[in-house]
Amino acid sequence: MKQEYIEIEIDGTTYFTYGVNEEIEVEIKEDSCSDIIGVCPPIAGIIVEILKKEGDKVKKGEKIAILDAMKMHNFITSPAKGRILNIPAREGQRVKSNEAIIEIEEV
Amino acid sequence: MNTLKEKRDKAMMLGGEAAIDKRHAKGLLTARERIELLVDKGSFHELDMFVQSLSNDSSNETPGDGVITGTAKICGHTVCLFSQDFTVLGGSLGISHAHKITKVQDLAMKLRCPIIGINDSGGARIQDGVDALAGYGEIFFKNTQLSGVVPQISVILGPCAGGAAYSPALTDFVFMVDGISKMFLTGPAVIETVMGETISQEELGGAKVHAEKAGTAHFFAESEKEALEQVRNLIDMLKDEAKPKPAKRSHKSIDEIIPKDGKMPYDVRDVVTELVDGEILEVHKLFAPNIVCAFGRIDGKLVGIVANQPYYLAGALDADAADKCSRFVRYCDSFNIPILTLMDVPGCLPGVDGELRGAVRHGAKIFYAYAEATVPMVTLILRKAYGGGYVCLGSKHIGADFVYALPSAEIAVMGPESAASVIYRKEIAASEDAEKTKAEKTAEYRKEYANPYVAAAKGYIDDVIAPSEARERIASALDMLKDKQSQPVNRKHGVMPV
Repeated sequence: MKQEYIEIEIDGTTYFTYGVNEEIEVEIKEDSCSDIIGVCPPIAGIIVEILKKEGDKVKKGEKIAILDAMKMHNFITSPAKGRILNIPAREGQRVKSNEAIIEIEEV
Repeated sequence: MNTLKEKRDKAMMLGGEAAIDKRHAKGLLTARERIELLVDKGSFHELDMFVQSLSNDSSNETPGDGVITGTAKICGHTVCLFSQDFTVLGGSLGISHAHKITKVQDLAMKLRCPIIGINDSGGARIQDGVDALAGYGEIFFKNTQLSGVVPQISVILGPCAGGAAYSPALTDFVFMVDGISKMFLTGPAVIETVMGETISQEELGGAKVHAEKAGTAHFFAESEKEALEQVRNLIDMLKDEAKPKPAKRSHKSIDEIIPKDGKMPYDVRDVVTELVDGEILEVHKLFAPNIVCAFGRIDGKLVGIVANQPYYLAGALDADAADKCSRFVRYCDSFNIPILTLMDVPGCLPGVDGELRGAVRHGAKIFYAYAEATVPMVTLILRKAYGGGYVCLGSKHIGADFVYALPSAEIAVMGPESAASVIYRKEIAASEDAEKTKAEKTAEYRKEYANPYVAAAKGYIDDVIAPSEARERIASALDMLKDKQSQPVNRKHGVMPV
């Protein structure tokens, strides 16, 4: 069976919604989707260290994680001022470049 | 005499007072105000002030036919320029307008001086029909003829859509201003009609998009004034020689800037600053930041600097970095600007998407640009020099004249971990503690091969030098090479893998 899906991009992260076989309407509310940012590493690699924990406040540009990729420790920085909402990634985990490793609630 | 004065006054008023007021109300400058800000005071010599449209429909209503042209001085250097005037039929390009531009292009060729175009035009003038297309064609043809002969600079200070966008794209340096510059082939309205996609002009062809993603713009500015100031800086930088300025050093030695731990990143621009006089001028600063391309001076002499940036994508090479770097190297070679390469490259960025989008084809541009360049080329290997990245970025093998390495350099086919995993695959698999064996073999490989001495023993690098010797060695190498003789291969031209 042909797999139908829709692709939604939010803040640079692509999400796929599978099993859609009829027309749907998507209403995007400006204020409801601009708050949470999924931080994705710029390249695939292994999470060496997560420098923040859930609930921590972060400044824009602040280092939030270290990624080992291309023979180097790369700092992942916060794209905005906010609060760490959720950390889906774990230290030692191999992550892809379009995978949200930390979710930040923008304030 | 009165007639002359009247005619001049009329020409100075562009499309009329109301049109000028309208621009000012929007916070925009006129074509003449832009020239005033760009050039040395009182140095502008206008040409073709009285040219009018040849088309019957709009005769007598097109002062200067919507473009101001002439010669001027910038920081004492002669330049040719044109500035499109939006107050006359939206700066649209008719045949007279086009011929004013091609006339200054011809003049730039004769004078061998840079040419600067300020673009602010609604596009082809419909009334001029196919003549407008002919005009564009002639401009593009001359852009191409001028390429590598004189520096060509485009400043986008308004719309630059459709065919009009190709002239700046054929020039060497494009400047764009946030919120003002708009450049695209098909605008949002056409895209919406044909594709059903909605997008704003800014998102489609604004300064940020071109400076960060598309790479069309080499310089990004917040205001018109800032962009014109940037053009002045560039013209001043591009002159061959200047009095050596005191260096703006951070009081940190290169040794301190580059972390001992090979996995720790640093900002390579700090190393560049230690090596040059005064400040550097970064080209494509916001595009492909994994590689830095900049102009600077060493002992007063202009040099083009290419440096991997470990701070971004670990300094790995990708398609955008290849475009940025190869274009810069070719610019330098065209204008006899020596090239200094600071290498710290872990290799090419692996990935399915990159490969499918032509990573090989793009990467080949770097090899081609360096291999074809005949200007003096000096390379300093700071740290990582792995695989194809090592070969392409100004290695001895690809044509560099002098290649030096710091003791921290690691010149090898691949990283110690990957290399150990491949070479000792069977031993690692057979051992009781695979992880421990792998770590041991990695350490062994690192000690044995991830250093500059293996390459030095084969003469692939000319010397291993201490960080404290770097500036002096580079300066003396460039000085030695100033009379370098190198004849290009006798051929019409090569086929660059574009």
